[in-house]
Amino acid sequence: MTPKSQLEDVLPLAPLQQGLFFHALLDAEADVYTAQLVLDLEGPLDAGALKASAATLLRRHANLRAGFRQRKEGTPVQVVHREVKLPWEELDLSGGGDVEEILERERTTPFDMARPPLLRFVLIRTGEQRHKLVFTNHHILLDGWSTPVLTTELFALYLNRGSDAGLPRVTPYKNYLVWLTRQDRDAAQDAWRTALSGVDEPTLIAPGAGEATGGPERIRIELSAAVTSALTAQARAHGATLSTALQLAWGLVLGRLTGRDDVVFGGVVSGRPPELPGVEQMIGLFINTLPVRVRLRPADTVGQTLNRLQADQADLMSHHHVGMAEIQRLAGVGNLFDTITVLENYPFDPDAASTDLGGVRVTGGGGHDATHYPLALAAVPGETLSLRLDYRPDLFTADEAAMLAERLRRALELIATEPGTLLGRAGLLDDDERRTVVESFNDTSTDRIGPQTITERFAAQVASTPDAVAIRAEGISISYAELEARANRLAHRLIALGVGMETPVAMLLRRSPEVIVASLGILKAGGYYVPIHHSYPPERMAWVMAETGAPVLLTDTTMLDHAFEHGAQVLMVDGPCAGPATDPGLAVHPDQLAYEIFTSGSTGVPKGVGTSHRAVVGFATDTTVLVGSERVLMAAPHAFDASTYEMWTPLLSGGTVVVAPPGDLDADVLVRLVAAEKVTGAFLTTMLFNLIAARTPEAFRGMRALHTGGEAGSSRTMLAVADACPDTLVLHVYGPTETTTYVTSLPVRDQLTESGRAAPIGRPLDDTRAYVLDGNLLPVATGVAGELYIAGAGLARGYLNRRALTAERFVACPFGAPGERMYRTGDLVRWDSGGILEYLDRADFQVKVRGFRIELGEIETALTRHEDVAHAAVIAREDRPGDRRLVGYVVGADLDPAELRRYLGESLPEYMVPAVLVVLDGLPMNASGKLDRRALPAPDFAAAAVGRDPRGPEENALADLFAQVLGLERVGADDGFFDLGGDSILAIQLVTRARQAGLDISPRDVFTHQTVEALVAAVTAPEEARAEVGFETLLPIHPLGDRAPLFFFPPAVGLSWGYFIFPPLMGADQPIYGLQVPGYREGEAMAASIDELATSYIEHLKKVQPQGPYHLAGWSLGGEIAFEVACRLQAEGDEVGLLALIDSYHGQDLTMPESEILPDLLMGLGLDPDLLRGMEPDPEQAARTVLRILRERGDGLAAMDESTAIAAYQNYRNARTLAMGYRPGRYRGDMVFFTALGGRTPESATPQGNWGPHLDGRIEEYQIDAPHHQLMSPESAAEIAGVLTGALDKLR
Amino acid sequence: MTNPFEDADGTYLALINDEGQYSLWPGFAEIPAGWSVAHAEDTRQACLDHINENWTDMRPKSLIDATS
Repeated sequence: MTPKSQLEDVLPLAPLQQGLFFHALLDAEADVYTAQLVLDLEGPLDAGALKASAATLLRRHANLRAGFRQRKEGTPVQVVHREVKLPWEELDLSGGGDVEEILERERTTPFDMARPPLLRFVLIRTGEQRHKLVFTNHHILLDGWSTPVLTTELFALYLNRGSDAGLPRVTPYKNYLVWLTRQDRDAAQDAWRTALSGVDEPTLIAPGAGEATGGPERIRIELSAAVTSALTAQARAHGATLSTALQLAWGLVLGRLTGRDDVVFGGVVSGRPPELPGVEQMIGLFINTLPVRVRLRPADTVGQTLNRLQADQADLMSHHHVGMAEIQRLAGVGNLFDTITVLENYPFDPDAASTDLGGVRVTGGGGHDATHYPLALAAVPGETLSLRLDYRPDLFTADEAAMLAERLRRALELIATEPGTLLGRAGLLDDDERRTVVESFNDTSTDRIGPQTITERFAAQVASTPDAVAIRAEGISISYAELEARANRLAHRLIALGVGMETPVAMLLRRSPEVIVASLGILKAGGYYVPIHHSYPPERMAWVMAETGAPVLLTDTTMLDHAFEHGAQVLMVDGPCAGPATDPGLAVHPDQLAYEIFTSGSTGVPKGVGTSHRAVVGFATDTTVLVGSERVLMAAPHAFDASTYEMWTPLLSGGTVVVAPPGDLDADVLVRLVAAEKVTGAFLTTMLFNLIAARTPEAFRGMRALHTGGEAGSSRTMLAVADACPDTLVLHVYGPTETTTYVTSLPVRDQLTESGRAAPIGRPLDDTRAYVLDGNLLPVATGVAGELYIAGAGLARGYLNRRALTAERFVACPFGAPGERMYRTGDLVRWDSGGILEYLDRADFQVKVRGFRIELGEIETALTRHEDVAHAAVIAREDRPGDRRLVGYVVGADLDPAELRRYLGESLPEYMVPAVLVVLDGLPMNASGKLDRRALPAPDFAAAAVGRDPRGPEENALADLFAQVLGLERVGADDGFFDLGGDSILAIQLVTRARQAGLDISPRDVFTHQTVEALVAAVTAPEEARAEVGFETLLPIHPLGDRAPLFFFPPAVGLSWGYFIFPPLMGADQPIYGLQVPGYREGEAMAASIDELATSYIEHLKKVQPQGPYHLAGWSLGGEIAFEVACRLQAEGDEVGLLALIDSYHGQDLTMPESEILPDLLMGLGLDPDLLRGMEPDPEQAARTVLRILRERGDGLAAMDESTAIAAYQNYRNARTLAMGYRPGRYRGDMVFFTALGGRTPESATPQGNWGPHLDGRIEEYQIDAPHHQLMSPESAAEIAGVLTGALDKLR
Repeated sequence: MTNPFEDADGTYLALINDEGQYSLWPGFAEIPAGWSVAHAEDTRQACLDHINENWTDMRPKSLIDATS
């Protein structure tokens, strides 16, 4: 007789079972889905009967005997075993012992999903006639609704001493699984698709949180009986269930927490289909977690929203059986949510079963149930609604969780007591939280006194210090009295020309003392100045003149070649100016305009911001801004409002303006000027700041204050400068033109901590207030993203002549004095708990690129004005970290990007012309028919650079720098810098780097010569540098940056040129050096051993970095050298940080076919190995071909004489000898290893097998899907760079 | 999230303060102190049109008074 099969049934999984099974597979060790029920039993217990009852339970319910497996093809199944042994344990702790410990042990011992039963019992005797029954099970077997059914049955069996005679037959769980298969899938999918349409992003409170590492913590709150009954009544009055009311409350909390008006979270439903007979008495897993979407329309009342939400839920009622995975696929935005709610309205109370169990009473019960979600809300209805919020302690502190729970309470109270409230007015912050963000963080009011106009303040200064130096420029000093006299003379001229109160006067001037004389003269005449940037194309200059109606244009002789249309009278300020030197004596009102500065406008034309004297005085006399106002550098263009700081802060406080030379400035000029003129205060754009900080952070040491800002700056760089200049107040500043120069500042030294994020923007200045508001104009809590609104001293009058636009952006302020306005910045920020603002993003389509504020709409409008452009979109891309650039996308017939860029240049300033224009067949749209900006492709920058290859070391070096600065892969020798998207700021970067590389060029050279070819021809590189470039032992691949350098060791060819691919991939502040073999330069012998190389290399790297930890990496043979260098460094007592081997193995049989040597050799030279495809295997022939290719390409190597060229091949062969003679020592530490997967065979060496015996540490292996010789291709290098950057970050 | 001032389908007010300055204002939000309704609840564009037509002098009233 064959034994009866152990298998009783094989069944599919219910939707939530699938989810839990998946979760268990994913993380078997930390599976949180273990539920526990603990019953306290008092009285004379018959343990044997209880055990028999538990066994009967198992026998009766097939689904409790299920194990879970995957079929071969991946489908999960539950396998029901005919018989399983009851896991039953009895413990006696009556003499002492920790019950909690047992409970904990039971909860944390994982179940093996494949081995049923996924449950176990422990009966603990805790005292005389006292027991605890601990029932622990995997959630996949049972849901919360099943627990009371199960316990009732257990007790019934106990009364029967374990026999089920007389008990009703079990309705098997299988019936439900069968029911599931009969449901209309299509209808359900349609319903869910409709319910989630328009949800274009998930609602995540802890994005990127990763898996939970332990169980959650829990907070409980309880509503009063009065509120509970009011809540129930209101829910009923709006046709809603208590569960829906709870969901609305949670939706509100989430909306306020994420700053969103459309949120999704999980809601747990009972999942028991009412049409299934006996469903109420079934045990098993029926519940399902389904998305609940809550849309919060500010103009709807709480009651209306409740009603609408209930209707939404009703539509989905018959589709509760669909699995979450399927729904997420339908929604198409990945994980929809990371918080869930559940209302535990179990069919009956477990305590009800505690009647008479033959003298035993159930006196209490407890349970444990958990989820993996960062936040899970459970509510237990009753006379008083009790709520528990489970939170992951790795993501929330207890205080934060408590705050959330309180907000939830307020949301529920709001629904219960004020259902007529508009959602837009339903704030959830308590009084303290609100006071903190609205008042405490804005405690900035001062009682500064004195005149409120620039003119009066300046006059007072002239009276008190007439002989003090007001201006220093090109070695000349101008006193306050002299400046006063010159400005007065000009004012009289202007008045004579008809300038009077609030007359706009345009200025087109190069940087010079005249800019200050002119600005002051205009103000003295009662007018306001309108600076025009000299980079504006004529069309834009003409537009500004027409827009402002300025009757006078002040300019100088250097600007004469800027011809543009206007009807103004022209006054040359660098000519002689006669007239009385006395003050014209006009009264100026503080609210009169001082200047109008134009910024980019979204509708296609710029907008002019009009700023009053009062706003300027308020800013210029701020206590923080005033620090270092003794001698302030004037370096920004007059048309940018940094000029407000540079001119008026010193001049209204008796200081000196140090005027930098005209034109674009490079770092060297600035550093020299700061030292020569003992500058005490300066504002530097992020770019200039970074450039100087990277090389000479101590250059600012003599300064009292250094301001930087304009775009997201690196906290690391700022801290480095603060460290290098201990007596300098380094300020990170923020502010739009509409609020006068800056409105917030952060003293870097005291308040900045190093982080990977951009530096925070700090606190509001004197008499300035910052409000972070949500979409309802309600203040958000600390830590929550909202839009920044600014009120107080610096507010501009508005956009001149743009009334509607002004009323949209300068809006009524609900927080300040009656009738006050606030400016809506469009910047997304959040408060930290200490009242420091962190900048996050833009809320709209305004971007900052290289410090320039740009409305993308303005460029798009300009593009579509071209007759051939049908559609256009412009975005700022940051495809390389730290390199933000404009990219335009155009649709139309026969478009020529180069021609379009020229066209744009006619109407837009050069910084607004996108670096690259991409022609598309159509713009990508999202489901709702809107432009999907995220789907716009990354441009092929390289396509624009089509010129001839550079020749010779200088051209090659400069072309590399062109490419680095422009973010291109390659630049041809005759490609124009500006045609490839270069601009004046990039030109300065180019100059700075070129000088470091020994090419002495100036910004002017770049403008004049533009191409690599012309630049190299124009400048003569020093003779010795020319001989060196490319073959020096220590190759400065990217010598810039403030991190510890990374040293690369050469592959077999002996040159480290291939590593030039890394600088753009690893960020501008990661210095990279390559080491190279001797033997390329005349008279040098080839290396005799790796030992000898290591000795020489250690000397070189100590010159760059005197002390460890050293970071070392090498590809191919370079890995072995890196290993040897690492061992030697350790032996000498130095520390090694990173050791990374890129597909290197020692002791290999190196007699590989010659055909494989050549690709290797070419890659080592930074060339494309495919050039050799189909090449003959004869080595002599091959060597000659390589040389021919090098010649034809006009590559760096082509500049060598033939004997040196052959050296490349000889070095390559020599390297194989070196490798064969190498016996590795022993390295103490971990190793990062990159394995090339291409061409591997089962016999191929493994990193562990090859290096393991030589290592006291771990090998962290990364596999790269490419053959060995392709590892420096852009794709592979990008992967390698990512790992290296991550590893270096970890070491910092 | 849509900025409350940028909801093309929302209803808005035009508010005015004592300085004669205008503010667009979302219909759902409470009107801040010191502001009164210059144009009652309407479409966004209608409110902006009203402001364009009526805000003839962008100087604050106190400045106009002090300098006229």
